[in-house]
Amino acid sequence: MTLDNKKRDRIVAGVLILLGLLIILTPWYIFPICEIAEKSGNMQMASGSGNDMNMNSSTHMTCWYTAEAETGTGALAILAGLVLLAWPNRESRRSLGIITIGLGVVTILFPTYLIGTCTSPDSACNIGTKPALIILGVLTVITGIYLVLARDKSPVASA
Amino acid sequence: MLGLIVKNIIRRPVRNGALILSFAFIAASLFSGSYLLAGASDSVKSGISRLGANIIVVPQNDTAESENVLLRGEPSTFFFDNSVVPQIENVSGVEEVEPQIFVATLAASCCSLPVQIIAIDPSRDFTITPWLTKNQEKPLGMDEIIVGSKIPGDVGASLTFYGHSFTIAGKLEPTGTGIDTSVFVRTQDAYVMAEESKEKALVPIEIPQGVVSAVLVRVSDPRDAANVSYRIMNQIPGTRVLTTSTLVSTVADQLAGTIRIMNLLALVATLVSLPLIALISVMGANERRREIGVLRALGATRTKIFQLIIGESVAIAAIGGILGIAVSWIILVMFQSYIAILTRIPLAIPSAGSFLSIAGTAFIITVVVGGLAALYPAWRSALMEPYEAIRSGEL
Repeated sequence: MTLDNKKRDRIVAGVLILLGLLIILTPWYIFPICEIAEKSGNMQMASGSGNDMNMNSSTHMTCWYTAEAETGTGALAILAGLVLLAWPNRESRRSLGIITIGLGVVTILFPTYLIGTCTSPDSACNIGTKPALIILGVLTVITGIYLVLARDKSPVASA
Repeated sequence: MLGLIVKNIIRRPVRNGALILSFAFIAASLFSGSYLLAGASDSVKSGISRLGANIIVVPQNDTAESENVLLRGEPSTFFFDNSVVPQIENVSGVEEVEPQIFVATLAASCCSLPVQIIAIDPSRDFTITPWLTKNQEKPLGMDEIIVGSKIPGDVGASLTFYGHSFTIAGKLEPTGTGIDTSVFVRTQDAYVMAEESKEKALVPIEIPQGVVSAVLVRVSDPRDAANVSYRIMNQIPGTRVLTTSTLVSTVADQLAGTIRIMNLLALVATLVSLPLIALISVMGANERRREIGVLRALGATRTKIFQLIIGESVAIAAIGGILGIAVSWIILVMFQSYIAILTRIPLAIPSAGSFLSIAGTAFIITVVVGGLAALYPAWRSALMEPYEAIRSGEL
């Protein structure tokens, strides 16, 4: 049994939407950033820095801004998935593929370079959130590359 | 024949994809358990070898605390009388001893969590001084400290503990153990810091005179370490010894639950997927009766058909095995610190040798499971008569 174009596009769109959801949920719920991890206290680990030092009522720790940025990136990945569902043709596959690669790259760059995470290597954002976002970013890039390279298959599919 | 196997696998992407995933799961569960154990034991070994000691003598009542200091980097303060030092020196088989004092700081300015200060005597030290001479060829000076890899700050930066300012003279390589969150100072500087803390620090610290927290022992013959530790415990009451092997077994005990779950998962995955894989192979063989018949009619022997079916299953298992091992390895490496904190064990990346043996074992077991699952369908297909096979395949 092989997959026809329509089925394949649905699966890829589903994967994109799932990745987008995971990118949004990871810093807040799945591998929470320092401030969230501290509040819930579900893991005894070092916070990025002392509450009194890097945080006060108006500012947040660095990882907080990464989490906010990733929420936007995740939302865009979901949008890309929805667009693929709505217009599943070769052109949209290509262009969405390139956008998806870009989204994957910024997913990786936010915690590692563009915004960063807290200074302490043992902080919740460094040991959980960052590696999880890097893995999700790599998966998003792979999905994008697949979309760009995916060839239109002939409608005749062997069982 | 290899080409035929590859073609057959590519022709059924969904079914073979599912099979590859179940083999990947088996390989991943087998690999992860052993990897964690090897990573933990390598971490303990590198931590102890960093200390340069064969045996660490600690107060009997504080065994758990001292294990926490060394294995988990949970700082602690404990002492016993330094009269044990000459007694340990006199035990036969002991070559060198080094007394150390362990002091846990309160949250210091550098770090959000307490730090373990380890006071050493440079004249007797065989832990840090050799490392220092190797790395920068100068002994530890006044108010100079050597810090573990997880202490923020570069060489030359200053750190303040209890109001006393120190300069970082060196940074140790990561070990995954408590040494990564430790700060080594000279004993005399530690006493000055304690004295000054009464005026400078909010909460002063007291280090009584004439105490030690741990005595690091180097034995003349490392193979005799077990006997020497037995003699120390026998001759000097109130002491406990920690050796690499006791620490490794402590960690292994702690990991036992996790590893049992991993192995159970692998077993369940094998038990569930073995009949499933066999069933899918039987179905596949039934669907391909005609193909097999044609192959037989073209002159393929029974052995060839048998090899073809087994070969396919083994190839699928091999792909799944490599995939499972690779994915779980990437996850284990990336989430190393997370796993270490969650399971409360020291964790390092295992050496290349142990990695290869763990990955190899998981891979071989997965491939053998793949071969076993295909035995029955392969045997059935091989026994088919060409004419019967082609005819029944047409129906």
